[in-house]
Amino acid sequence: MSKLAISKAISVAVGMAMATSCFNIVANIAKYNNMSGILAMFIGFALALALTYSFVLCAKKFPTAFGMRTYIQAGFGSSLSIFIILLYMSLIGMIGILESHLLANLFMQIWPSISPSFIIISVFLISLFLSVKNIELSLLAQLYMVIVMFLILFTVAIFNISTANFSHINYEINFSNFSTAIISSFFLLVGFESVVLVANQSRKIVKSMPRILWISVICIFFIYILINMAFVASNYNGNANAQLFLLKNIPYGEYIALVVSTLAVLTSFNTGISATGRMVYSLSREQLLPKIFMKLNDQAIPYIAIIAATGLILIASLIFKLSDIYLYGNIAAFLIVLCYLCVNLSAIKLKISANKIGKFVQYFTLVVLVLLLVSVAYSLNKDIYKLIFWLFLTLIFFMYMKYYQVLSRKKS
Amino acid sequence: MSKLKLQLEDFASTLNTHPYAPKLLANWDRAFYIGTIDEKESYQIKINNNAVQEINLCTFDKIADDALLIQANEEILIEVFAGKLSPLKAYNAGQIALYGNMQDQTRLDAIALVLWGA
Repeated sequence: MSKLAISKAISVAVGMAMATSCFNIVANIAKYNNMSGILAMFIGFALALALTYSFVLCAKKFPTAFGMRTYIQAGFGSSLSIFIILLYMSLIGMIGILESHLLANLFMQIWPSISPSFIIISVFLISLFLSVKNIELSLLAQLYMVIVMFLILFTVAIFNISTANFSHINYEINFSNFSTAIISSFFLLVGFESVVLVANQSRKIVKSMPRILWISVICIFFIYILINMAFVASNYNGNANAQLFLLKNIPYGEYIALVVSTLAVLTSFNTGISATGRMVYSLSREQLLPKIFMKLNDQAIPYIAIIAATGLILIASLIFKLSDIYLYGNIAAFLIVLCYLCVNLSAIKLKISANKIGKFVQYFTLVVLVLLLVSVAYSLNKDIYKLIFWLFLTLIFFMYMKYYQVLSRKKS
Repeated sequence: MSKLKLQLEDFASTLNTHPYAPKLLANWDRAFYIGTIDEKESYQIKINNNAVQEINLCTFDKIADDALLIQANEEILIEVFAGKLSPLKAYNAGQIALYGNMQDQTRLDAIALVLWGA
């Protein structure tokens, strides 16, 4: 029973981190770096491990707490934690928009007549059904989807590596591409932190949380490295869709690509939608949002909060244009680094590192995150004002929530 | 009798006499546990027929891994069950550990909301 519970928890982290956009990122690392991309991925992975260390420390100090929210609240107070949670929710929304469009795009490559809106709406509705119906069903579905996705990816990667001729392999390093690959590799692991939201189902999981975080990150990295090697081995040149390219020599490859991508999107959405729903419920519970979001179904799931969050992301997805993908991708990257930076700073402020090496890792992570933040902001170039506008908009919404809270408390 | 046990008895009588108790505790026949963080003092609270029926002293090692358990230091537990400290605030601040399936957690949250409005 406890092994199953731990496996479900790992599948939450893995499923959230593995999305369909990740295959494109891995393919680009392979395309521009060849074998040196693997080294870049190891460095990006080491940076992600350093960040995981801060999450592990916080998870140990606040064993059953509400993840990032509690960690930041402990370090910097309630207001900043709420503001960061709002940014985190908008980040999940942006990822939802990007992923649904990439999946729709893949479907259209195989069936050009299919409507992208149909795919986007379908994938949101399936995720909504899983999240609202039953939490146990949702977690079990997550586990099975991740296992199937893992098995397919593993088989496809091994097939491509074993059938490739390695004449094109080189180990040259182009430092511009190499540094981009390191940054991209770091972002491949984004999402693993969501596992803490489902941790307190049993004491066994809570006690195993540090181990679950480490195992999740290692599992995600293992499969990415394998996929990267498959792209390198099959000499990916960027002229075709990444998933379709990898499956071109496999019977029914395009359909397998659809299955893998759909699973990747569903597993991300399943976790993302449930997590966002719980966050909205928690904010409503604190009188920061209207009471209606506290409504529960007979499974004690905050269904109105989940439906509202899903509906908002779905509408945004239908309005979104695929040409804006890099802009939204960069804004999402900036937001996640900002969230991670706050957690890391909290861990430093609360002095919860055990020893000198631990402290060094935390300060090292701090420097890396600041550099990443600057790098992402720089890459936004002229669009930086859109990021500032987004932060400003979130701030206005945050202030409105605080005002609403004051009014609600006066009434009660 | 310990301060915590007294507070839990008081909580039980408040809950049992609350007009919303039958609705809050409907179809929720189960036991949940309250324990101090040092694991020295823990209680089993049995709910049956829409009311708290028993509060029994128990040993921490008898509590199953997936049981519904609220754990904190004694002062925090007393403040929470006296309605002086919002359990949600305490939870968000990491002062209270709450274990168990999400449905049961949400049920406890609803009880706190109805009894103490927080």
